[in-house]
Amino acid sequence: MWREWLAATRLKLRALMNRRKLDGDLEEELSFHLEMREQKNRAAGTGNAESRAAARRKFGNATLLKERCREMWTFAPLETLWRDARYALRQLRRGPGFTIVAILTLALGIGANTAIFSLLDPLLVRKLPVRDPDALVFLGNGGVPQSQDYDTAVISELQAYRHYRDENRVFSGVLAFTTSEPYDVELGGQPSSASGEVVSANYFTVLGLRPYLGRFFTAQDGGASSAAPLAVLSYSYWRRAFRSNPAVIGQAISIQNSGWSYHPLVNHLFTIAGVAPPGFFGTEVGRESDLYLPAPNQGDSPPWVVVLARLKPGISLEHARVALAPIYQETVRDSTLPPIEKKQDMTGLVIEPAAHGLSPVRNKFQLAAEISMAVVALVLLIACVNVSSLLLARGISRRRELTIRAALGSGRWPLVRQILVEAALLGCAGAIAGVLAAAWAAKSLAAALSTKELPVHLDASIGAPILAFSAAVLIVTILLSGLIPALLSTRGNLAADLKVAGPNATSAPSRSTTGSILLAAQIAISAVVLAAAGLLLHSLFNLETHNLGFDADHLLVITLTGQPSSPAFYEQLLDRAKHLPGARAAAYSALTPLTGDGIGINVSVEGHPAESPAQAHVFFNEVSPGYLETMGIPLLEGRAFTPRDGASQPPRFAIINRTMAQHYFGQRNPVGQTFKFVEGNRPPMQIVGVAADSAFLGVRQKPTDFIYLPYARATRFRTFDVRVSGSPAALAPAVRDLVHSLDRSVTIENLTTMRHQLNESLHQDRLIGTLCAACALLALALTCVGIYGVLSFQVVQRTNEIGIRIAFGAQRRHILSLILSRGAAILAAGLAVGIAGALVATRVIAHMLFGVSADDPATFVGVAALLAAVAFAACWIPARRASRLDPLAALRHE
Amino acid sequence: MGKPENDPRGDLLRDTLDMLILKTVSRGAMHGYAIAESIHQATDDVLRVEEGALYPALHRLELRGWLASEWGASENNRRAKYYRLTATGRKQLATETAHWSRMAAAIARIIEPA
Repeated sequence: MWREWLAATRLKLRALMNRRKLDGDLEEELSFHLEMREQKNRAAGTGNAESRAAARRKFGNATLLKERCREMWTFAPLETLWRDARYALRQLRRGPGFTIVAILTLALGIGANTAIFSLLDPLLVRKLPVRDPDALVFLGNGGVPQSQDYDTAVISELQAYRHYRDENRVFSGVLAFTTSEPYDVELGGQPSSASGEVVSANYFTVLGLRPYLGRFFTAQDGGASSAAPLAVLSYSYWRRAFRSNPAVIGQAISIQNSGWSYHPLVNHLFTIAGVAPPGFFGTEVGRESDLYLPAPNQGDSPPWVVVLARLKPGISLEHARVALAPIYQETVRDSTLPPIEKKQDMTGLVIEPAAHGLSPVRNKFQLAAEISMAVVALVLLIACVNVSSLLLARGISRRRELTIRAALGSGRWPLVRQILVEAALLGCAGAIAGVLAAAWAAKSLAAALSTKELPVHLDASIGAPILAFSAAVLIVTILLSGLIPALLSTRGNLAADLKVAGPNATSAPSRSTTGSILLAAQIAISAVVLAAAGLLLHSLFNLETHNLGFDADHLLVITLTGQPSSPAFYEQLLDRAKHLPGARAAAYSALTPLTGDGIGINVSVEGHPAESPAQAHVFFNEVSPGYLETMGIPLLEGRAFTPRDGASQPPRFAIINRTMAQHYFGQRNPVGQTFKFVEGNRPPMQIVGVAADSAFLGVRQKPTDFIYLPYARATRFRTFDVRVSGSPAALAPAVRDLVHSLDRSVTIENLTTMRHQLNESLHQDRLIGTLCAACALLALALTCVGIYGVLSFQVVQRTNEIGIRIAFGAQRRHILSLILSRGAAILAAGLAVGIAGALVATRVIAHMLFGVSADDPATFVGVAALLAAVAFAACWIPARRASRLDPLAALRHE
Repeated sequence: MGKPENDPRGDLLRDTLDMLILKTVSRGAMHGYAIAESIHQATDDVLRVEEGALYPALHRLELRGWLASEWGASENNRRAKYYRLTATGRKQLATETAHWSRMAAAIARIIEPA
């Protein structure tokens, strides 16, 4: 069977190469037969002409015969498709305006979908670039997640990792790693920064990776505590910092803790052992580690790790869960956590599939990504409906041509196929343009996700899976755009229409109903997109103008790192900074608000036993005197810190916020009262003041218990805040110079304004808001064009009728209202469905909204009004044109 | 306009024609006219193959690889397309002949009075 097909195809291909030879051969073969017959007749005795005529008669229809034979040698479906395509191209070229609008519309729809998917794919869909990622699992503790950004369930103590590694029988390998952090690296004498992970010695083996260059470190190589520890570079870091120089293997590299590492390195001179394969970025999606450093073989460092294990073949997740239960109990027993935290954090073994890696980036952006996908899909739908009504309108004006083809014997399917091919051509052109645009924009889109706090590294290049997605989108687009016009334009008794005069007249019911329905559909979908955009923008506005409890403007925030050469540095800096021109106040704090960083601790108050661990939890910040004044946080009771408060070691005084005061002391004045820290056996703390509530972790955070502690002398400061009258950015260079001039070994890790920090914390909301606003504008534009197009066309179709009306005495305003009322009816229908749909759809984003409910009446009224205004504007021109028709010309119009 | 290919009765006729052509050509390469004449004579004028059926059949058989064609000189020195049986064609002929004999015997058993 196959061989036959193959042989036939080969013959056909050869015939394809030389069409003329095929035709010539057929002609010659048949005429030879004819001649032979003629000869035979002549031999039988009839005359020349008679023989020929007789021969011809017997031969039958030579042309038909040749056609039939010829057809066998062609790839029939391909040839018809090619013919349809050439014809469609001609048709499209004849109406360039329509063609360009249609292609642009589809390009925008397909391009937007491709672009969003190119971000979604590495973030949500793609698996880790390691060997057999489906066999990997995370191990961790159940418990209350401390931070929204981080998946603390998968963090374990080092002792737990050792238990899992040594005692399990279900894994072929267990590795541990820390999350990626910045390190100070010295390259060729130049200080620079690189991100690094501290990983167990079997990291690369368990993941099943081969080095691109050199080798990886193994358990035999001493670990970080050995004399010459090894380090592995990531491929992109090797390309960036070492310019792909293969001679780096064996070179020494100096790596030291930057101010913010949890895992102190013992040594600082590492030897470069090898380079990781390209495409490998670690096990955290959205982050990229430049360096992989080995953990020390013994000891308690690093204290917190993420544990990843590879299941042995044939072992299921459930089996592993059961088998590990007793080992988990041992880790609980050996845990060094204080009892109250143990109860909170170690509620049970967590074992989860790790094929998609760990990702705080994903946690942060997942909902946003899904909403984006939904919104651009809606925009594509509008685009398809738009092109569909355009094609439908053209189908009506080409009715005469279609009827003639039907009369010539064409079945319905070839006509339908013709229109589908037109839609396909438009779709392909749009897809090419759209994918190119998306490819060009992909890099900048991925970069736009990054903020200083959470830099995002996603490989958003357009590869095979994304192109496959685009192809699927293209097929859906073609079907959506082409089916309705194709089926409708060829419906009905086409032959009967030939008898009716005029190219636009049809005997079938008016196609304009379908056009109106499609239009109403566009309006409905636009309403949903507009409603979503409106709510999100309203929410964003609320977030940006929310009262934070402190004054976010005129505030310069500087993050310092490095050990000062003299302890007097900090006082000097504070003093000098206060006297800078334009500076009003300055203070230190361990942490700065709105970065998502927070430290918590548990307290207990006399007479207030905590019902649950959550109740005893407070966030705290260590601050210098003058902090409240610098931040603009009002002091409600008592006093602010003085330098003496920080002198006692450990500090004995604290300022609490209003929420905590109300929580523990109700209406009483808490000043003078005391509280204790639950752990550490420290002396009770005395409350010296009450500050107003202010936002700390993020803008959305509800007010929670908070305490301020005075800065202890020995602690290393982190953030330095300066209140400025006027623009804080203007003072930045002066502050920078000041720090430099005072002490060279202290460096500024970050210099920014509080307003900027606020904006960064709202980064995701702004991204979504921007995207939805862009989609809303797009939807509005498409709908406007759609309304204008369809109504114009309907006016042209009804020209005759309008002429008659005018001839019978209708005034201009009657005609105007005739057309406008048509538009109004469509608008009303569309809005009704759209608003109802939007009310349902916006419930999905309800929990993302801040300060506005998902059925906010003002937003919905605004959406309806905006659509009505746009619809009116789009209707106006066709209506005016209709009312201005010259009745005589209209009556003559066919 | 119903095409003959869609007619189930035409299927049977077409397959039979294929078999006849293959058998005719098995004796030696022939051009189309000669094949038609051969069948005409061999069946004593009972079966007459029209061009409208012959040439589509010849081309179909060539595409299926059972016949191979080449141009040559005819008996009166004209250029003509000669068809010959291929190895697969020979096998197909054997299959079809056997099938046909079985069919004919079966039908004969019914037609013959018991």
